[in-house]
Amino acid sequence: MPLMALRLAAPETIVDLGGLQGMTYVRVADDGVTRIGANTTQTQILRSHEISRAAPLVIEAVRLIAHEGIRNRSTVGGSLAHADPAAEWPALAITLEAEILVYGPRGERTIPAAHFFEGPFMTALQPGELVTEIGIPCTSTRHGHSVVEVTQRAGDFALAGAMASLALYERQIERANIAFFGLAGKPFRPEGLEAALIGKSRVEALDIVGSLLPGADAYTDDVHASSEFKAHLARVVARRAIGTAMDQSIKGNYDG
Amino acid sequence: MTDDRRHQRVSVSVTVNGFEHELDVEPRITLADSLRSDLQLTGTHLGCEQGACGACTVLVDDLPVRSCLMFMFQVDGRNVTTIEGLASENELHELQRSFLQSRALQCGFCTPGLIVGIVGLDRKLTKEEVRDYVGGHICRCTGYDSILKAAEEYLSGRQMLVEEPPDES
Repeated sequence: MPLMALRLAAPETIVDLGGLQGMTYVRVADDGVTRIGANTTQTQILRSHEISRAAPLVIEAVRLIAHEGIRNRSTVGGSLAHADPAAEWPALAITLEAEILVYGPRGERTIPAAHFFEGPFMTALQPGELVTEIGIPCTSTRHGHSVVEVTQRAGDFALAGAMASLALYERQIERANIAFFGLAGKPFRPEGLEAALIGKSRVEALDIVGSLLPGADAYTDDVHASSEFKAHLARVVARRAIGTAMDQSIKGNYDG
Repeated sequence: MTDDRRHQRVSVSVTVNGFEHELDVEPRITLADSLRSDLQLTGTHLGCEQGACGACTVLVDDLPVRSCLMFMFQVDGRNVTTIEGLASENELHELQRSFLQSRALQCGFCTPGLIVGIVGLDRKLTKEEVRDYVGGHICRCTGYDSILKAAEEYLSGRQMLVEEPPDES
């Protein structure tokens, strides 16, 4: 809607999906995957006990989406299909390695989040296809997580954001899923970063992360922030997200 | 084809502030615009028309929403509450009284959106959460302190204001 109000989009035809039945749900399946129907609103997600137990990073990230009046109407399917590079859901989807269920003229298919987002406001959706569900693998009790955004005002889209979901073993990183958003045309998990952090302690991880991030060329230069500033912000949010996620895991705050 | 589109109409049955209405509107008209022009309920204001300022906030089925980001046809069969629906015949709504007493408005442009939104809060909140909610509305005049005071007083009066939960770590 805002894109139309700003005269940036002028579709010939609009179809309201709000009336579709059976697309609002949260289910934790036996295989440990939390399935959320595409028409589930952000507010409904925030109030879900299942999600707060099975995938607490989702709750933390969804709290940062816009403002309450918007969250009351905004849906997870809408956010995924819209694919704003600075939005929380696309970054969540790739951090947690979600699967996006899609339905179209040729039937149903599953698209891994890593292949779903192609560029700014561009996804792997073909004409006639719509998102019906997102499936999120549960995180284990050894996970610590964090979302960090830098915004001009609370509720804005991120100038730079990082999400981290880390599993620790004896205070060292055993597995890291770290994604960045707001910085480029789509959210991304920097190549080599996660592998390089395995086995590192908190001090070691924070020490090396800056050197493992892409340089300024990788970031979109725009009216809000230059590429150089974004490169700086990337390091800031990376350190904060990794540090907080590790602290949380070490403190055992995550009580599954 | 162009002519057909220009004359396209959709019928909407909606209850606004307790009154049922049957309307024939263009599919493209927003809830905000239709409330203002078709129903002459101009208390709902248009600030940014992008969903950022909150001035257009109304309740749809008791939930605060940005009416500039909804189409009128999307409230077919639903209940809408605007600022005009809060006061009774003879009395201001409690929150309106709190706003007056705390001097929580000056130009009044953001006020209807704020009042309707706060009335629509359906759960217990801490002061921090009230602040978070109010932060979703842009006010250029008051500096927010008086708004928070009015909101806290109102919520407290309804046993909806709670203390911070103790830190569990």
